[in-house]
Amino acid sequence: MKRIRRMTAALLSVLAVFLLLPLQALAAGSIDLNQDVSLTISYQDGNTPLVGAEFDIFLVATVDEYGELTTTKDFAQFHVNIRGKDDEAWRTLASTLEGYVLRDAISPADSAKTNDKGLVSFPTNGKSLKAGLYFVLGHRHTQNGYRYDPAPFMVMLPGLDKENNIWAYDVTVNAKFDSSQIPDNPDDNTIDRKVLKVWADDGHEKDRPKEVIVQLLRDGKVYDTVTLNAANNWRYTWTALNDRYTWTIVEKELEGYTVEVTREGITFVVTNTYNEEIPDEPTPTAPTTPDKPTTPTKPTLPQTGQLWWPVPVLIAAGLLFVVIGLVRRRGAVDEE
Amino acid sequence: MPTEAAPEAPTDPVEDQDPLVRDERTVIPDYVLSPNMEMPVETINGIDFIGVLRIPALELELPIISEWNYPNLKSAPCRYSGSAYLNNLIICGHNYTSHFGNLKNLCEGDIATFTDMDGNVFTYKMVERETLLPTSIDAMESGEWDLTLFTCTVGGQSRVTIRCELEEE
Repeated sequence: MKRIRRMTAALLSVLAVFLLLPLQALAAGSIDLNQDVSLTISYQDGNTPLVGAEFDIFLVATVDEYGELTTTKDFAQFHVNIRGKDDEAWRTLASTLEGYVLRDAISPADSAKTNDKGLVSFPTNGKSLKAGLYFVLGHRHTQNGYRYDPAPFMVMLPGLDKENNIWAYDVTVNAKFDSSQIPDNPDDNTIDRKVLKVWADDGHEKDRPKEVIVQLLRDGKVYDTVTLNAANNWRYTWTALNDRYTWTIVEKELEGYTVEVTREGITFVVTNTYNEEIPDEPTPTAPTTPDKPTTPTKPTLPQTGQLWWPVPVLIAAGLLFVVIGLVRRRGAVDEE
Repeated sequence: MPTEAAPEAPTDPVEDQDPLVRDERTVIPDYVLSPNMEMPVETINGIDFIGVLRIPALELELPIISEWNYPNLKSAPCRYSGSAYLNNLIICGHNYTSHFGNLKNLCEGDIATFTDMDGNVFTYKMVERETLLPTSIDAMESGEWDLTLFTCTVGGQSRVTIRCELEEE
């Protein structure tokens, strides 16, 4: 019986080891790095092609045949997580990179405008694209009295064709955008922009910096710099900004934290996540002699009331003394 | 350390975009975007207040102090623990008639509102009344209730505890 049990344990351990082995995630097979990749962006408002809209494409990370990403030099300085797990993570990464790319005026790998069908393709003539993770940033575009602000996005080249489970070396993307009608007097329109800092550092709250620096960019150039700290609740609002410009928020890089910037309405939410990978310097402390343990008093809920019980007691005692006094006085009177 | 699976390549963003998120003009309250944020305070005479509690049925309108201690409790009811943003706010107050002395007269369904320092209004409905022992900290903080108000009973021996649920809009 014991032997069987031992064998079962051994068998289970072996099986468990298999779980630890790296998953063969690329069911689609390895990437052919010799094959050319291309990206086509389709920019349409319903049936109307958006013509002459400019898009810049930046190489954020190269990829090897197994799909492993390596960040490029231009993007290695930013404390971002380039390995998103889902669409929302990719959107967040794109909106985070937007601010840094604008602030640092990073040169795109390629840049072009949409043709009269609302299409633009990369690579453009004379250029080539490496396989990798790209960040695409579109410029503001006006057409027929409307203003179009494209949403920045990430794209993998080649892309993964999930339905057929193969790599697609020519990728087409429909670019999403915000649009609004251009008012007659654009300078009269104002908007507010707000930055709200969120800390994702459970257990490491005491390691937080005292303050962070945030910059507001107007059309990509630094317009204002503010300091966020506990005193201002880690948030700041700019009011009455001129609506004719595009406004973006950028946080100065923080050592030990990754950053994510998303825009929700007028608010830019800047989330800093504590970087667990950075090992803390172990601070050697001399072992302290343990304090003599005191019996802890049982914690109670705050005493939110006057003590009323002494009142009837005191009344009774008072009455008693009055009665005693009366009785004794009567006695004294009798004696006289 | 085993290598992670290769990241999912971003899929073609064909799906309808969420209009709320990218609309340039919508103001979303900070606590919705960051529920773990500290409740903002206003400091008056050196004391931090987190907001105002109103209970129309008792004709009460009281400022609420951010941190509780006995000197603070003499001035106004205090936050015992929690946050309105996390639906676990607990407020304690002395049983003066001007503070929480009449809590025991609340009926199921009575409304209480809490307005924070950003002007956000949270509306609660009274659901239950309990009487807890002074040592029943776990029970007080059991956390299922969106808002809890408590005070001492007349004898000071237990805590009159009012439990409220957030009214969904």
